[in-house]
Amino acid sequence: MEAIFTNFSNLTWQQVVMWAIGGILIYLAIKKDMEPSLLLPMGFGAILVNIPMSGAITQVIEGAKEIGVLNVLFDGGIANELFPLLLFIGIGAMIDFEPLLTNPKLMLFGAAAQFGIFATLVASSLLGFPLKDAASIAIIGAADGPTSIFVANYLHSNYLGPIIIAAYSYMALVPIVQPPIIKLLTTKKERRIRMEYTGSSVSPATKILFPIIVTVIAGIFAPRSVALVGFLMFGNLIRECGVLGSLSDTAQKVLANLITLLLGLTVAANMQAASFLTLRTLMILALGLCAFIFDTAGGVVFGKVINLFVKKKVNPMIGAAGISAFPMASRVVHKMGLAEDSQNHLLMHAAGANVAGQIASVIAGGVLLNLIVK
Amino acid sequence: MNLDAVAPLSDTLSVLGLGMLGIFIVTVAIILTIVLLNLITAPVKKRKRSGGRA
Repeated sequence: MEAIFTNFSNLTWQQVVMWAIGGILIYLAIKKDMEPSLLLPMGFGAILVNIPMSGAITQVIEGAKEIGVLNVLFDGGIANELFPLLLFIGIGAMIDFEPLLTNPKLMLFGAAAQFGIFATLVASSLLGFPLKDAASIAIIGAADGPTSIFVANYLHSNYLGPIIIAAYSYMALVPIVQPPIIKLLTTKKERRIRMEYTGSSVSPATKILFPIIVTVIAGIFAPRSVALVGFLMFGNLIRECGVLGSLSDTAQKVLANLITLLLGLTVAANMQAASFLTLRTLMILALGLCAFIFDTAGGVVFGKVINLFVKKKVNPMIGAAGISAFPMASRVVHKMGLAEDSQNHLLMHAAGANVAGQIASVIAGGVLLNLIVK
Repeated sequence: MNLDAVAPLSDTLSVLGLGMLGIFIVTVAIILTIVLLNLITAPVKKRKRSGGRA
């Protein structure tokens, strides 16, 4: 009888706090619809791994090592970067690059909005994080879950759990984080600038060649990004080739959902109370927020700078859509444009900047690795 | 760079500068590619109307 209750004595208050955090993640997923496919398994996983002597994670019991299934999944799916890359096939299959292909200049906004990554690298280093962790925290600013996981894991960061939580949470919070920053940096007059959308069509050949050529270009300039860019663009090629409709559907739905589910559960293996409940976790969450703020500011300020040199003014708000969080960032900009002027439809421009941000964030991850890993 | 040590400010600032420069270089290369692709793959009629080039 005593044996049944012995595990109670192994329970710590920190583990109970982690149950509460898991509960909050599940609540946000279900009640607030915040990235439910990821936050729900992560929340459940946080509870799962914080049960004393949990069999879901590897434990040493009386000198014998008992391998936990989440550690097996971690080694097989995250430690070797497999899950984020497979997820990128699904994401690539979801993205329509047409708004960008009709107005390629929007690509510049995607580049400018990566400023948050590098600004956060500086801030994290100033706060005393070793370079591998500072760079992993900075990549939260990519506003792109798989890229964050890929880079943090590549650098063997000690803070994979909090980094992923910050990355996905702030992506879901884009409609709350971005508007005050955009309003702070723009005047009412600027927010009312209308942008004409020509809507010219793009040939199927362009749509097919684009993912192949981008992979080659990104691979040559930033070879460490080629796996990320390559899988993203492969997914897009499946979508655009026109002969793999069912495979494209599978990649967009079944593959993406399944990998996200496993990713969420597996990431939770890094959410054990002892390593998660630290001051550094709070610092990472704060720095992640800074990354999103700097990204938004980078894009908007770039739009304002562009307006100093061109006759046909751009609405600087579309710079904010240059962050990778797709499609939330473009929707935010579109709604803000309509709020200022009910006839100001910025969606297609914002969507172009948004998909540009998707490409630029992946390239930024590769460039960052190229610069710091020698 | 030593990944396990805290990087000095001068190093991280140089990563900031070079990183943004690198992204913009790749971006410009992609923009040029898109422009070129749109020119090459545009329907013949459209190409003639726009000066008959490409």
